Amino acid sequence: MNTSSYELPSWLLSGPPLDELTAALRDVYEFFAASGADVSDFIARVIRTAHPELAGLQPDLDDAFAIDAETEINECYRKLRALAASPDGAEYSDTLSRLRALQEDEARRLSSVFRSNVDLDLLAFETTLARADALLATHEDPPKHD
Amino acid sequence: MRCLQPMKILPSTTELSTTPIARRHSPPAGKFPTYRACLRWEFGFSCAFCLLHEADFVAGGIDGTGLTSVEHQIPRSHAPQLEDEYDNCIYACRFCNGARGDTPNVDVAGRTLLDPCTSAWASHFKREGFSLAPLGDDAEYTARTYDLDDPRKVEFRRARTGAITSGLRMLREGPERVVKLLDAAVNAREQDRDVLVATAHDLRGFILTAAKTLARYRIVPLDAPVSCRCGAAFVREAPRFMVAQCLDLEDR
Repeated sequence: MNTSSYELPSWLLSGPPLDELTAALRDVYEFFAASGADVSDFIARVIRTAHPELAGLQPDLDDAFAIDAETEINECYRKLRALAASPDGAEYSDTLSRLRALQEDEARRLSSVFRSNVDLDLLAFETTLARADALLATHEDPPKHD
Repeated sequence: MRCLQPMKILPSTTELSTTPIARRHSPPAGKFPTYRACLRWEFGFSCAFCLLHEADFVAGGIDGTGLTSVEHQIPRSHAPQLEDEYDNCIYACRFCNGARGDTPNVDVAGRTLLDPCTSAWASHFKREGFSLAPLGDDAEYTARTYDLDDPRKVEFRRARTGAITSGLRMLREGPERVVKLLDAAVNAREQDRDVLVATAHDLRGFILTAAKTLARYRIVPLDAPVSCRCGAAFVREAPRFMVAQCLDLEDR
């Protein structure tokens, strides 16, 4: 099922009460979950539209953009701006190193979250492709049934 | 095998514009946050500085996430009278915005921050892998101010390249094999049939995942504004240099 093409109704923008929205979404989820469809993106989009303040409920945002780390990163930026007149000083250099270390940590975390959300395993695909080609090679002249 | 709606998706790597980004929106004066819809279309749903697209940050729509914002080329703290000037407003990601803070347009050495609407990025930066290397003093000041190669941004660029390259390969090579495997299964001995069908099923799983991933990278996101303050003059198109690089995913 492709939920991405679903236009969201404009009444969502008025921020319907959370209990009503939750009940409606539970029905949607249960209806489609029975068919095995993944509607998590759709539900996240509905929630963000109706209640932007709840954006953190979306798992990849919640996991990826750690507020504490960002606060510390921004603090480093502030310090670097304050020290901009003396970029050769030890304090500037230490702050820049600290900033890079924090960003590298965040980049690793983002990479991990991205990989868990976007599961494109090229190696596994190539292995399956090779298996397919080997099978097809042995079935080039398939025996006919009676 | 049908797995995609026709759509335009981002290139695996956004090449730098050889001309400045021409403004096509001209909303009536208002408070700067009301320009957001215009700015999203104006800059192709991408940060004008680091060129990361909304889809690089999050799937399913950026609104409500706070990951992009309206940046002022001349900071509000330096020129409050320009706060609501549309031409002083630029679409930027939270990372570029946070890196700049209120850094002045011109530093003590006389270096000036580049404006993507008056400077062509390709004239001032060179792509080096997933980084943007500055080519002159102003570019150096701009790169440092917006921290264009913040490791997080580099990681976002790398992630897109990997996902689009892998996804396209799966879509290019998978469907034909699935059809052949199923054809072979029809004619195969019963004891061989299961393995042929199972392999076709496995490949189909890769194809569906690839289609879903590529759809994430559509240039016009699902939550793209359907109107803006320009009213009837609403320009519903990304900048030409971006559209020219987009990949057409045909119905297949």
